[in-house]
Amino acid sequence: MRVAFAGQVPKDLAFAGEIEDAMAVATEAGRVAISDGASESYDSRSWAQLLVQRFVADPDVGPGWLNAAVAEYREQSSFTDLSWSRQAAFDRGSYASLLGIEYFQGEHWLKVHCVGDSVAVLIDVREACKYTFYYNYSRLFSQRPDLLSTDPARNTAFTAYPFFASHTTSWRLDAGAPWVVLCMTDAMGEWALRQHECRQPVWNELLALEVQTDLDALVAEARESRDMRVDDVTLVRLSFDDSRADGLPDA
Amino acid sequence: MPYQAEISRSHPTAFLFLVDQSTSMQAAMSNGIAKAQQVADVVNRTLFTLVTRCTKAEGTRDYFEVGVLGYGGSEVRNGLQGNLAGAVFHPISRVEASPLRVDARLKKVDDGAGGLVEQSFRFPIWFDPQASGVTPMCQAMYRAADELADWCDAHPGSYPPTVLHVTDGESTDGNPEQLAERLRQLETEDGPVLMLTLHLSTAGNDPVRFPASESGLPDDYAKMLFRMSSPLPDRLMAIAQEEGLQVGTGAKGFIFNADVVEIVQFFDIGTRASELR
Repeated sequence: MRVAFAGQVPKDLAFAGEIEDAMAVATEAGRVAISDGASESYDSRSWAQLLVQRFVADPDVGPGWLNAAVAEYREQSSFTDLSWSRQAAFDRGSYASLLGIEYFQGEHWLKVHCVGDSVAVLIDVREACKYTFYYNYSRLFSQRPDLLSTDPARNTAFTAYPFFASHTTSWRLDAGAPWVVLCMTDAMGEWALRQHECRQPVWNELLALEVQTDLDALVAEARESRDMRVDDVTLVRLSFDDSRADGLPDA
Repeated sequence: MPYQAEISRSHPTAFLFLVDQSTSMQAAMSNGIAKAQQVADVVNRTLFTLVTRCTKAEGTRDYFEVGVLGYGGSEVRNGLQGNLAGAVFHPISRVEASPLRVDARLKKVDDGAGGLVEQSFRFPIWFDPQASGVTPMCQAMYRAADELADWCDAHPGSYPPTVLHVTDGESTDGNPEQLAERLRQLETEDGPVLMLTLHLSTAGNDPVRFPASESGLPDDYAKMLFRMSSPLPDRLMAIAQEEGLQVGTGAKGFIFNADVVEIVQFFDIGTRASELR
């Protein structure tokens, strides 16, 4: 597995430093995670960052994992020192999606964890899109997504079995095929699935991206034509076409 | 399609609270609290919520500009005082920085073990109740239109301003209907100003929420306030439906004879404009 492309475009180019998406890559462990921090929440950038870092360190996502993440987030804040408005905003919580990929090289399969509206797409370069997860239709993006919260009271739905099990899937990568996985946060995910449904060659377009400026141009054009919602964009493209290049040890 | 603009710091939207402060607002609601006090509580709570929605770890982002106009007796006055007395509209960060005072209040929160515990929190006050004199609603419409015209000129690309009008009485300085119509014709490139009306009637009738026609309203005054109100945009209609309200095609932003819960709901729905970016 290797990261063939990874890029981000902020929702507001005037405030590029405030991007609330996060990504983490641990290629040697075969793990990648992206997270989309919700715009209307207190500190979703830190929360998204914490989630992806925890995933690549420990991908065993479940109720205990989430509770530990919330505890770590809350330990980092000094609530009593905050102004009234920051206290109130902290109490409203911070929210983020989580899409995590685990690659088991020796067994040629992937485990995909997805909570919220980020999307993973498995592509056989010869045959185009094979699977998407968790959403598989663009219209699903109009519903309110499940987002992981820093407020434990907002996470009760996630602690009930089988929430995390039902938000995990496995993809077998048959040997010899040039597999690619795209990981996208919601604005790009919704746009890509809609383009796909309209039979546009969106996967070829995303496979052709080589440098950040390619992604900048694609997003700018899609926003200009109002085909893509204005939001932070994160795209990670994982390639499984050449196992010798990734340096991963055989299992 | 109107009401599609995203709300950002470069394209904020505005909320103008237009509050009847005539003598009749001293009357008590079903919970025993005077209407004026109840409305002031909800205005403060709504400002608190707007500030909270805009507050990030690094500070309060100016997605909104907010103003309060009160009318009663012979005048229309700025409802925001202290450091905010110099203008009607203020960026939300300035509102955050300038409450008149910050009270300590209690709220019930989840104790993590299936129960509730009381927790103290700080609650800012910007707007104090007043209730005296007659009801100069026409004057209030004039003043609101002046302020909104300037705001729309300065923010042509923004989601249009929303006026949340709260009244319990009949206008004593003429018929405000045409003035309200002129106010609703003010616009940005994203659509006309939204006028939402909360009628705190003293009549004993059942509440009427977001009606599509005036036929079910009990008196001419309620019917006039209905006509003064804007149709609900799709997004607000969807939010009202999510709140469990039956809101049909053509529904207007008007509630008649609201109780305390509905006052809160009215302000909440009315201030959930577009997505913040």
